Amino acid sequence: MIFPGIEAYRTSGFAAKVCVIGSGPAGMAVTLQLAHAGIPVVLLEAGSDDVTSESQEFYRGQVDGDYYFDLDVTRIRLLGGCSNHWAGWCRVMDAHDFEPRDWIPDSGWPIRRSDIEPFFGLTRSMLELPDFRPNMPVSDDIDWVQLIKSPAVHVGQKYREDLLRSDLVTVVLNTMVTDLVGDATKITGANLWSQGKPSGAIEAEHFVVCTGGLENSRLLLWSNEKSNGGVVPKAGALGKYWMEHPQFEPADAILFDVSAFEFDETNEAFFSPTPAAMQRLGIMNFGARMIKSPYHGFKGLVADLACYAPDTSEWIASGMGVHLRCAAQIYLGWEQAPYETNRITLSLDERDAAGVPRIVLHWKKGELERKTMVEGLRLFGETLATKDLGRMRFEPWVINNENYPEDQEIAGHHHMGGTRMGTDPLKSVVDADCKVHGMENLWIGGSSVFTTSGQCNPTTTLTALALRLGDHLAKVVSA
Amino acid sequence: MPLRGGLTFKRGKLMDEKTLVPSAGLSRGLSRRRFLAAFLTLAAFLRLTRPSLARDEARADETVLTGRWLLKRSDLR
Repeated sequence: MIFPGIEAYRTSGFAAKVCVIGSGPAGMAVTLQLAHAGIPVVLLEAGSDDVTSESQEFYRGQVDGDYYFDLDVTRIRLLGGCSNHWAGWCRVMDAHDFEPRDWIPDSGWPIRRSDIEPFFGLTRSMLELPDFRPNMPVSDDIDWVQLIKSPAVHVGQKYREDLLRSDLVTVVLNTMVTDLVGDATKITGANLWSQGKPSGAIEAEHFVVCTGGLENSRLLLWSNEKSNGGVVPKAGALGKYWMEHPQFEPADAILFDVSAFEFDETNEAFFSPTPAAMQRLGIMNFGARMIKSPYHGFKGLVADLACYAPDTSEWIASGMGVHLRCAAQIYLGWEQAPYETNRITLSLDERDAAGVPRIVLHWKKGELERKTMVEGLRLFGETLATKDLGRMRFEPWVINNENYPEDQEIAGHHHMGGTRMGTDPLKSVVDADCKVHGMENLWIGGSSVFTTSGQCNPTTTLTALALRLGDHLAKVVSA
Repeated sequence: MPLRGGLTFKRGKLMDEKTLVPSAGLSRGLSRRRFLAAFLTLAAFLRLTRPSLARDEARADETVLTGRWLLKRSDLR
């Protein structure tokens, strides 16, 4: 069943045991798992079937620190959540991403990759992915890694008909949870704003917050403030350790033998450092995306001209005011360390139409991120040179240690952390099962629970984590 | 800006692979065949004038940052 607002839901008499808040990939995964186990679920979605400017307005916020996207642009508020505007690039974080690394502060998850592997089959089914392939060594330092260009499933559209016919799932659109109410041991209800007005509260045995990597922190911070600490009683890390994936185009390259690489159908190949190389250099994980020119023969020579004769071609180019690139472009996206200072706070003077304080995002890239970019590029460039596969050329802003440019990709729209997973309540919000520390019935799904960020797009990993959460919660509810 | 033979490149499009070769850079004065021949000659000349990236059979493994390029020792002459 799908209702346009909470009033219609109430008149239906549907009795949900679990209330899932947010219908993006995480919320949908939890809901599907619970329904599969025969547990009645109400799925609340703040948006509707379509994106509207009125709905997006709720996402406005402020950014303090490094240049970043507008917060009402970097996410989308409708059935299916951010799956409605993602690129569909999929990869699960590597096993070593979950391990503690002594050169990265506060790294190390309380779970391992093997804990989510049993849910890879369902993840692939949900996101329509082929089999995952292992990394393949290019050198002792660099692996070729698989990055799947999936059909970018919009989970709202994919499962809408199933939800409409389901007796176990009721979807309520246009219904936002303004705040959860708790007594520091359990959640007793959630206050609602439905179809443009305050709409009472909803009760359930369990609540699962899956509103996104920014909004999860906002909802819990505001709920905790209103409940005097009754929602997240151990809130030392709440909103903190927020992470993104810096993404820039810091180099290009000339390739001598393109057959040595496995390029995909869009002429792209992806590479990452080996764990040993990261440890040796004291850097984090990164993904180097190499895009080769589609040209061969004479056209390929023309495309490579800027690299074969760089001094001459740059002299010509500078006279014409143009910037020449080699035939292979190098994009780098990399891990960001979890810093306590990168955090979400609530605005003191800006509120949305429902009266909820807007987000202030404090975000900066640190020294370790810069080191990872420079040393990572050098590592990849050395592999190209020593294997005689090509030569890499750094952009001037990298060589000259200048600020990051603001006219490039900047970051991945990957919102991670804020309610991170861990065993220490001073440095984490949820435990290994995604349950909020100290609470009996409050669970969190999505990339906000990531302890560290890895280098890859987060949707595949967060979907597997959410399927694991749904499976676990189903057992708890059924017990 | 105008170049030799009345050849005109649109500003910022010189090395755009999608537009350079077919016709976008050509306005008048040169046929496509003559343009390609001229470009081939230029490419060969430029390649010869910048031998630092010509691969060397020595295969030295040590790399060095030279200007903006990460090269092998054997690349350097």
